Order: sequence, then C-alpha cells, then structure tokens
Amino acid sequence: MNKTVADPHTSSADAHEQAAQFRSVFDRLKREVQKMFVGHDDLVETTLSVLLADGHVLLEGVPGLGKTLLARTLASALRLEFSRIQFTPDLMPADIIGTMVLYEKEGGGHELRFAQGPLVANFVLADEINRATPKTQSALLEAMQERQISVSRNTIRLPEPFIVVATQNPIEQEGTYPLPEAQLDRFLVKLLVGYPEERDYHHILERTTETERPTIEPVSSAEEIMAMRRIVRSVPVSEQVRSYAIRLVMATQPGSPHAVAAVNRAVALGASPRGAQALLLLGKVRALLGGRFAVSCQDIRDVALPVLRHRILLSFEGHSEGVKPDDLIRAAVNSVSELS
Amino acid sequence: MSLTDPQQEIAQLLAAARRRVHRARVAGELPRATLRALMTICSMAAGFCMLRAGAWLTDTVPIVGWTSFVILTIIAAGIAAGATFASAMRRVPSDREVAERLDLATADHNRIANALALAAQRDENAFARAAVEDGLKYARQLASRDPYLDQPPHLGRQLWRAAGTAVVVLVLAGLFGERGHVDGAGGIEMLPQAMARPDRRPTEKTDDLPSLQRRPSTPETSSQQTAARQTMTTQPEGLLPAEQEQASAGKGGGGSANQSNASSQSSKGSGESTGSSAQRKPESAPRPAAGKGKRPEAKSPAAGKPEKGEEDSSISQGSSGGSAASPVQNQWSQQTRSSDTDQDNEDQDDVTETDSEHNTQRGGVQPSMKDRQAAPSRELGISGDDQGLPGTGRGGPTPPKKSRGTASLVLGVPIPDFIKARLGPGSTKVVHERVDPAPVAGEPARANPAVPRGGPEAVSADHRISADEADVVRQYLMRLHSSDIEKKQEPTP
Repeated sequence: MNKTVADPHTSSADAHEQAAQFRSVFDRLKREVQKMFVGHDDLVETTLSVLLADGHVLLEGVPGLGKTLLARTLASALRLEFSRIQFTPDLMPADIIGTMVLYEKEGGGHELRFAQGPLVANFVLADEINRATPKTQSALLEAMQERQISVSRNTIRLPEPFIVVATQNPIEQEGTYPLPEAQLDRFLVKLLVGYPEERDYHHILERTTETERPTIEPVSSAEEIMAMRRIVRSVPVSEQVRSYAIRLVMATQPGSPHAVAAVNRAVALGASPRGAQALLLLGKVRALLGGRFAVSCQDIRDVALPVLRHRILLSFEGHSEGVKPDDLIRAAVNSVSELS
Repeated sequence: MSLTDPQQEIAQLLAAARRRVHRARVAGELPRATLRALMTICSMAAGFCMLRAGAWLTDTVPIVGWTSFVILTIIAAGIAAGATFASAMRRVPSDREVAERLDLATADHNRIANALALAAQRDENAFARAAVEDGLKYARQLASRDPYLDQPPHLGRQLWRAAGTAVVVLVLAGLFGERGHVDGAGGIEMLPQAMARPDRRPTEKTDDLPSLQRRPSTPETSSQQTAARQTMTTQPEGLLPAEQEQASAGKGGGGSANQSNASSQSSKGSGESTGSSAQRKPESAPRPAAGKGKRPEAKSPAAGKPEKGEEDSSISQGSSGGSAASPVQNQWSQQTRSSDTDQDNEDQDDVTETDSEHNTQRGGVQPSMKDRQAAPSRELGISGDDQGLPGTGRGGPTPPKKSRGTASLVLGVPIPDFIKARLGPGSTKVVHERVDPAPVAGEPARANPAVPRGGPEAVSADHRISADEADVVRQYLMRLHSSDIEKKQEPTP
C-alpha cells in the first residue's frame, strides 16, 4: 500500500526543524541561567523543561542553596512580566489575588475597582511558600490549574504563559506549614535542591563575592515560550508508552493491581491522573531534548522521581518506618514492565 | 514523496525476530509441560491408589488393573504436556510484541515499537512521521539482532517436588498394583492376601465368609483362605459372650452406635455378636431415628459421644457422682428426661412400637425398653432416685434435695440467707444554724526558713526517650491506627 505525503507542512522535515528550534531555545535559556546559577545542571534542565511543558515548579531545600536565585535568574532570562510574592505567616489571600478598592471618580462619587494582586503576571515567584498558612497557599489553586482568578463576581484570565516557581523549606524547619495536597498536586515537579559540589563552590564564590556580577539578559519572549509549548504538545506518544505511564502512576496507588508491597504498606494516597499527565508532558520535552520524535519509556522513567515524589502521601506506617517517596517510586519503576 | 507502507515494512523486518521469540516461547514451556505431566502422573496414581483402596475396603473387585493404569497414565501425561506445548505454539507473537522486545533488547527508547504504533495510527503529525522514519531506519539496522526473551519460568523446586511426589505415589500405586493378580483383560484383579488387614479378620468373624466364598480362588491363596476361615469360625466359640462383647466394643470398627448396641444386647444376653454384618449394617443406620421417634437429633449426639452422656448424667445427679452409673442407664435417663409433655407421651408410644419392631428384627423378641423406666411418683424434684438415676422431671423417688445455685458451688464459704438491718429507721432531719466566726486565742503560725531539699532531684531536664520507650510508643500508635492500615491494605474492587 502506497501512501503519498501531500502536505509539506506535515513532513518529517518540519519536525526536524521544530525540534532543532526547540533545542536551540532551550540551550539559550540554559546558558543564560547558568551565568548566574552554578552547578545543578539537572535542576536547571528540569526547571526549564517545566517552563516549556506548561507546568509549575516547586523547589525545596534548606536556606542558602540558591532556590530563589534560580527562579529569579530564570525570570530575568525571559522577557516576561515578573512578580515576586514573599510568603509570610500574616499574608492573606487578598494580598495575592487582589481586592476591590474604593476609588474616587473624577466627576465626583466613588466606585469599587479591582486592584489586581501580584499573582496577575507571567512569571510568579512564590518565595518560601510554606511560610504562609494553608489558607493563603490555597489562593494559588485556581490560578495554577485554570490560569484564572475569581474575585467577587469577576473572573480574570491570567496572562500566558503563566508559570509559578515556588520555593519552600523542608517541613521540618521551624515556622513552616505543610502545603495542602491539592496544591502540591498542581506542581508539575518537585525538585530537591541539594548542596553544590566542591568545584561549584569556587564558581559561586567568584561570582558573588567580587566586584563584577554577571548580568542576565532576556533571551526569550512570551511568544517564543508559547511556540515551544505547542511543539512539546505535538510530540506523539505511542500506546505502549502511554500505558507504561499509566501503570507507573497506578503502581504508586495502594490497592491497585500494579502496586508493589511497599506501596501497599506505606502509602496512603498515590499519584493522581495529573501525575500521568505530568509524566507524559515532561517526557515529551525530554524526547525533544534527546533528538527523538516520540516519547519512550525511558523518558517516563527519567522524569518519574520529580513528577511523582510530591504526589505520594505516606501513611502513618510509612512515616513511622521512615519510608521515602523516592524509594517507593524506584520500587514502582523497577516493578512495572515496559511490555504492554 | 512516496512511501511504502512503513507498518508492513517494519513487520517484514521483524519476521526473523518474531520466529526467535516464538521458538523461545515454545522452548520456555518445557519446564511447565514437564510439571504438568508430573502432576498428571501424580493425580492418576493417586486415583489408582484410591480405587484400589476403595475396592479393598469394600471387598469388591478393582476396576482398573496395573497395566491399564500404566497405559492411561502415559496417555494422560502426554496429553497434558502436549496441550501445554500446543498452547505455546498457538500464541504467535504479534508485530507489536516483537518490536517491544527488540526495543527492550537494544534499550534505545522504544524506537521500533513507537514507529510501528504510529505507523498503524496513520498520524499526519510531522513528529509522528519523523518518528516512523526514525524507527524504520533503526529497524533496518537491528533486523538481525536478538530480541529480548523472557526467562523460562523457574520451576526447579516445583519440578523436584512434583517428581518426588510422583515417585512416592507411583511406588504406592505399584504396591497396590503389583501385589494383585492381573488377568488377561487387565481389569479384574484379586485382592492380595498380604494386603488384608490382620485386625479385621477376627472382628468380622463370619461376615467375610460369603464375600470370600464369592471370590475366584487361586491355588496360592486357597490354603490361606481355608486357614483363615477356620480361624474365623472357631474363634467366637472359644470366647465367652462377655469377652465377645468386650472385643466387639474395643474394636471401634462398628462406631459408637454399635457400642451402645453391643452393651444393650449384652445385658440381654442374646448372643447378638454371632449375627452377620449384612444384618447389622441396615440395623445400625435407622436406629437413632427409629429409637428416638420424632427427636432423632436429640439421641444421635448422645449416641455419638458417650462421654457427654456421662457428663450430663453426673450433672443431673448432683454431687452424688454419676460415674458409677452404667452408660445404659445414662442414655436411657436422657431419653426419659426429655419426654415431659403430652407430645412426648405420643412419642413414647412410637418408641415402644419401633423398639419392639427392632427387637424383633434383631433375631427374636427382646425385652421392651420401656420396662426399664422407673415407676413415676408424684413428688416433684429435679434429681434422680437413690440408685443414681437422674430425675425424669415427672416425679418419682428422689434423693434428699441438694442445695442449688452458684452459692452452693463455693465450698466452705458460709452464705447467710438473711440481711441484718434496722426496721424503719425514720427520716433524717438537718438543721442549719448560722454562727458568727469568733476569734480563737492561740499563737500565730511561724514561717520556717527555706532549706535545701535533701535527696535526689525528681525532675529530669532531659526529655529524650529511650529506644525501648520509642518502640513502645510506636507499637501503641501502630495498634491505634491498625484499623486504618487494614482498610488501606484491602484491595480495591
């Protein structure tokens, strides 16, 4: 059976061109960020991947490791409207979303106008998000999932692209509140920021303690980011890979047929369908970065840890045994077979 | 730009790999087929043994002979193994499976399987086309590569276990089969003399004689049968009736129902033990229902558990000790104790009739069991008479009334049957009187100087708990949350 490819726009040459463009933008952004942020290549790559996969990032680490610096640098590298919210215990939802303010009219009289909060921006840095109460944290729920905020009877669409990069200290730290599960689930990935390696310390000290500090130039625009996101979404996923991602997500759910014994014992809530969506989206970015045109099971495995670790809620038994979600995810990855 | 169908091209490229996967799959079924064959052999041998044992127990001619067993077992094992292989042969791996296995072997991002799947979808997306082209190119390179093959199932332990079981069961079957005589048809065999139960011959006495006479005798066993026949016919004559009765009661072959029969018959001195088993078997089965009339369930447990009957009788007799009473009396007392209404009177009439019938069937007129009942009296009591018989509830001679209730069970504790109290103590009157406080002369209290406290400090500043305590707390909390954990571990429907 012969098949003629008539439409030149759908030829494989286009895919090659788009993939090359994607990698080019990605590399440009990465280089710019690495001017300021030293080390943690995988952290930078994953953060940029989430930006291009239309997701949100949660960075977790002890103070002083550069979480805020990474987010600020990334915002500087993008020609986007940037907004930073410093989460404090007395922050209220209206401080984030905005509120109705009484204005005096020019011709006399008064009217209520909506004064938008810092959430209405392209790039929102939610710094130390777990220092605010869960009530305030929940103000981000609608914005992160539906890209809109509702105040009184008004619904305001948020500008595209919209990305929230949140930083938080580990929950064991003093003065922190745990993020609600619903909010955690809205982050595409949770990245753990660790200590830099010894050689990276030299670069960090050089760049931060001398007179000349590197400057970050915006190297990408909102339109370009949106175009990259469309490219990501056009990467196909075969049924085998899709079912592999589904089985992997189900393997984190206690009681499911794919769950391993450790999950059944130590997990109270497993990953949701959002987890499967996140696996595929981030897998597509990885496929493009790897020079491939379809997602593979290996791509899914590579992104499983950052995508699933914050979606697994440990049970009391899991907490008491000191089980870590990363270990459970590794067990699930090892147990799920690629063969469909 | 013209493309041949990439799906077909990939399928052609995968043909060699498919053959390898299929061959490996069939070869991988060898342990499973062996296991099934061994299990079939075990089942057949076990069935053979059961048939033989059944034939031996029922003194009938076995249906299957040794030769037939061997032939049938070989056929069945062959069918089981062949079915396993046939099932594997039928499961030809699909293109998709072969592609996935080839990708697994190369570990290169599912290129071939993705290409095959996307080519099958006819996706017009540029990326899908690029992925198909990429996969096709990759498949051409790897066409001769070995795909990922499943490891054959590790059935080593199961195989050894099944083989051992098969050997054991076959040896048993051989013991059953080789000791018998196989005739030309291979079906009818003689029960071997050596396999006969040594303890059964004397107990069955003359029961086995008709069946033995029915069997086709062989030259090598006829002399032994004659000797056994002589032993069986002469032994009851040498025993006294009481000894016969004791022997029949001690055998346990007749069950507890026969025990009661034997004891009741021994009291009658009827020489019942010489009766044939053909006469005894139908008698023992309907007896509980017929002997009790309309309450068969009340008698059968008592007949089946004589210990319980003794226990009941001892309870009903209070502390006088019911163990001295004979089992006959105890069982009979239970019958009579349970009949205390008009309905029971009718039942008793039925009992009389059925008893008389059975007594007739037992080979002669027997004394009526109703004659054993004590004459009723009009004095109501819960206990039996002086001879240790439990009470019927219908009156009759009763021993002195014994104390009842829980208090009587506590030995040596005097329990008064009255309460000391005052009669009519009257109401209490409370009078409130208002009195002004008045100073009382005396020395004021003096403050003592503070002195350091002696002894060890009671409060520890260290709040850490030991590992043992932490473990205890953890166990407590685990137990506290155990219901949640169990709920969580229940599989979802």
